[in-house]
Amino acid sequence: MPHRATTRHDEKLLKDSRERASGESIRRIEKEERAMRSDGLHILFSWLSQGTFPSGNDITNLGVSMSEEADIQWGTIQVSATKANIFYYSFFSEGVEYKLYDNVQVYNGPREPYIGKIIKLWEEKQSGMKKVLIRWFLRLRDLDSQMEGDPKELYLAFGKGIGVTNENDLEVICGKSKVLCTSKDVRNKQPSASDLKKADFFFSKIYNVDLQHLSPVQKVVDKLGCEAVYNKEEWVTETLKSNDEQIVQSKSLQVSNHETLSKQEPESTHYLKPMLKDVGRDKEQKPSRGSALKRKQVLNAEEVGNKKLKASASIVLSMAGALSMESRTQEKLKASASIVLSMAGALSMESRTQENATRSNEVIVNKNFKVDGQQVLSKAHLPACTPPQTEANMKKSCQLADTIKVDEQAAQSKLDFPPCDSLLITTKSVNVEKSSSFKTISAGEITSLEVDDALERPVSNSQISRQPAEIKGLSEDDQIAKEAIPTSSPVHDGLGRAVTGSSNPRQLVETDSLPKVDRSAVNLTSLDSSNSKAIISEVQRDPPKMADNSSGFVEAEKSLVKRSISNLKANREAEVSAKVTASMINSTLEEKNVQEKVNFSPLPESGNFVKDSDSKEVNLSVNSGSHIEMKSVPTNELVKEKRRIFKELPWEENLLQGLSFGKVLLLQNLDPSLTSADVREMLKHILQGVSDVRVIPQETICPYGQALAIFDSRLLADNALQEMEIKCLVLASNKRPVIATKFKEISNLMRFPGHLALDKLRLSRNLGADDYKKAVSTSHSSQPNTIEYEMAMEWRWLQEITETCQAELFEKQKKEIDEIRKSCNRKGF
Amino acid sequence: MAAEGVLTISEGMAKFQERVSRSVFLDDVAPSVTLATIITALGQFGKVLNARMLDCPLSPKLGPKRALVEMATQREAERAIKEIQEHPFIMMKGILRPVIARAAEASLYPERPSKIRKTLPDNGDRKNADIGRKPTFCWVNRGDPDWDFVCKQKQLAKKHVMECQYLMQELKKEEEKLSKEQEERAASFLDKFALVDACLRDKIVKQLVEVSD
Repeated sequence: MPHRATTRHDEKLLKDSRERASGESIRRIEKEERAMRSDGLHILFSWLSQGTFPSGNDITNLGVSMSEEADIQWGTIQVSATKANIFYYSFFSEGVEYKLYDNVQVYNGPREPYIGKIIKLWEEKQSGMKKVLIRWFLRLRDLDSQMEGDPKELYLAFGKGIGVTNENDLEVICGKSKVLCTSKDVRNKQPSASDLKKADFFFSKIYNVDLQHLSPVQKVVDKLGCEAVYNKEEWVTETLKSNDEQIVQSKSLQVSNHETLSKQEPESTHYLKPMLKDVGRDKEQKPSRGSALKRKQVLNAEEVGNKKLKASASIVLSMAGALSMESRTQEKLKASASIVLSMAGALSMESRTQENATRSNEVIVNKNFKVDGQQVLSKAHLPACTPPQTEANMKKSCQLADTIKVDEQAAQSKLDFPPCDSLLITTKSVNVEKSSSFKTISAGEITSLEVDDALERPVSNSQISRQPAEIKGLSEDDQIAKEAIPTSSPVHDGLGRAVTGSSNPRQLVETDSLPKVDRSAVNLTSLDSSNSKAIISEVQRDPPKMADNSSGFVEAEKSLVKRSISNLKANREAEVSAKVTASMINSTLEEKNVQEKVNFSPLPESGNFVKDSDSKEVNLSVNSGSHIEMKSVPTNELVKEKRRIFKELPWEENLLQGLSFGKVLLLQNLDPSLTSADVREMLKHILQGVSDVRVIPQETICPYGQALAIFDSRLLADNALQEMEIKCLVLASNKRPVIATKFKEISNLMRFPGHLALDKLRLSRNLGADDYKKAVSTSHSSQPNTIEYEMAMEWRWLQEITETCQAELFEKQKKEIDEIRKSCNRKGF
Repeated sequence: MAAEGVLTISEGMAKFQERVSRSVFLDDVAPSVTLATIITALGQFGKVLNARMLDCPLSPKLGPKRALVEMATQREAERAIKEIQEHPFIMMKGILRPVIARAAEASLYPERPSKIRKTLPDNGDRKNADIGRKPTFCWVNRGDPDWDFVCKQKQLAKKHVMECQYLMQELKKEEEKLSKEQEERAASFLDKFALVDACLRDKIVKQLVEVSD
């Protein structure tokens, strides 16, 4: 049972960002959840109903009894609802999550299972039946037994006829199937060869049952919907894990959530036990379960956190869980509160409750949003924010003061913020705005976002409006990686503003969130375009995959754990960032001389998986300017890592790639004495988007130098070309103009002139073949008494002519240039 | 150019120039010739330390290639150049077009060090201020005093590029022509040889001699 309860909670956390339920629906959900919790039902929501569906149950109902049905749980995300049905985005069966458009195996008795795609998931309100609409994949033998082809190839059924889709009971689904779309469409995430190898099936065509013919998927993709046909990232990458594994993962998740959801559960895992023991110790007044829990956790930190330090998703998750709980119990507290608190928020909250517990409790109970804002603020800039936390009445003035403080602090703490940390904070704050404005995004999701962002690995984000946030975060990170220290101050400025905005959600959220998004977008554009492009593309690829669910969560967690482990090995980046945050917190707390809190501080950021003696070090090093040293570590690490990732392609590859995209300009009439590096530097100063420049090697006889310039994009290259046409790009010293043309590769000659096809001819000779072979296979100077010599001399003669012609031409050209210079030059060039 | 450069030669530059001085530049190398072939071929004249193809994206893939070969000493390089220049040097079987060898030049190295000093001299005792200064590009807009001048130059430069391309094209045609002609000639030579061989083999010559006797 705990299993199910926690799974449900997971689902709760993982609300799909694409479905923005109204505030009302949230309230409804919460009510129902409470009701449900009390009566122990596993159905989450009350059902509404909707219209009809094509039916045609040709698959046998397996006779799964209703008791077995308990193994199937809906996901939290409701797609829509009508009078008769409620539609869902996902469901859980035996710990595995199935989502819309997933490819599944469908029970087919003892025979090979059918393969289909989930198109709809719903529950009939009246009967409580869980239904699924499946679009079938057809095997070749289904179409025509005579045809031969790859047994792994499938055809997606399409059309209006029978057998394209079927409505079935949910129980018929007996597993996932890895079916990849190999369509070349750009929207399709292209699977690699190895991916295909791992896949159970692949498809690139649809079978139109009406017309009874095959056609490429691209033709109908718009009708079916892109996401319904094309690969999701996770499909491509997932190596269908055994169910066990997935269950284990979901269990581990459950465990972490368990603790937050049902505090009474005693069987939480080893690392959470101490926390639970601490419950009894918490003597303070508990205004809400969430805050109480937080306090518990902080107390736990006292015991556990000092010994264990590691970035861990589970703790973040549990935090978020607690907070979302809180927000649910206090209905008017929106998701933002919980998000804000999810990491350091809990701590700041805690500090406040401990300082003047009554006040903060009051505030929370009063559902005062201001608190949340302040928490945002304090979370983002703990050092700066703690002083003004004393009064509940503080409003804008206070926030202003905060921001000023923040700026001060920013100047001081420019070096204090490690890139990843500030990144984390930025994205968090942006997310906060978003969530508060949309009011639907659950804490868990945001946490996952944060986690992902912190990992520079955006796992989930389907909401366009939120992409900029992510992009911003990432690109900022890029920037930071490039010039770690200087950029951190703008980041902080931006943060300060963002935080002020979000700190006053009631008044500002609606209006503020947009400008901020713009801002981030602007930030994005001003950044290194190539990198940001890459990121954009990455982000664009994300939406389909993001459909956040527990598996995504699991992935996030896994990746985090993996990452942090690797980081532990490689200088412990994540750890250091955690340290730094901890240190910030600590310094704040020290300011206030609150001894206890110093002990708490490591908790929120640190997980409990791995013991780490370093945490003590952290606490010690917190006090002084040792921040800088600590920070420099992650910075360097990041830079290194970036270099590894964005390793420059070799020139030739770069050029070839550039040529195919039309990104290469040929610059002529350069000063021949200029080197590649010179030209590159010069061009970069004057033109936008110059990626690389190479001077073409040539002999000094040629009076003008040529260079190939590769631009970041075709557009930039075209712009540069246009600009150079309208204006003149000249060398400043002697006003020598540069001319540019779009460089296209010269068509290949059929063969090299001068290569006699003697091999062929030689076969006709049967005399002295060996001698002949010996004579010509090695490089040699030909002797005057051979035909070869004669012919070679003819070539020599032609070569001489070439050289003379060139020399003459260049001579003539030089004269012309001189003439022009003389006639026009008044400055004595 | 070279004379100006002397002023600003750094140690790295000197090293580079030394390398250039003992390098051989090969032109008109057939595309089928590999580096290994070049190394073996030039090995006749001394020790080859390094060889590289100058891949010029401007030239067609199957066009003549260029190569830079670094010999152990300058003397060896000079000797190789002399030999290759004096006798038509055939790199590979069937390729009658001999390679051209010349002394390498700095401008042939795509990654040559810049002659421009990174820092300006501390005092202004340099004779030519231009050398030390980093060259920069600047824009000349319509209406600027230099506009006409620059425009004319630009036109001229374009014309020159065209001329050069045209010349290359014509020369290429010549090459093709020669190649074709030679092929025909080679074929006819071979025919002739075949005939002679046949005559000898069939003892026709002997018979003829007998008849004439």
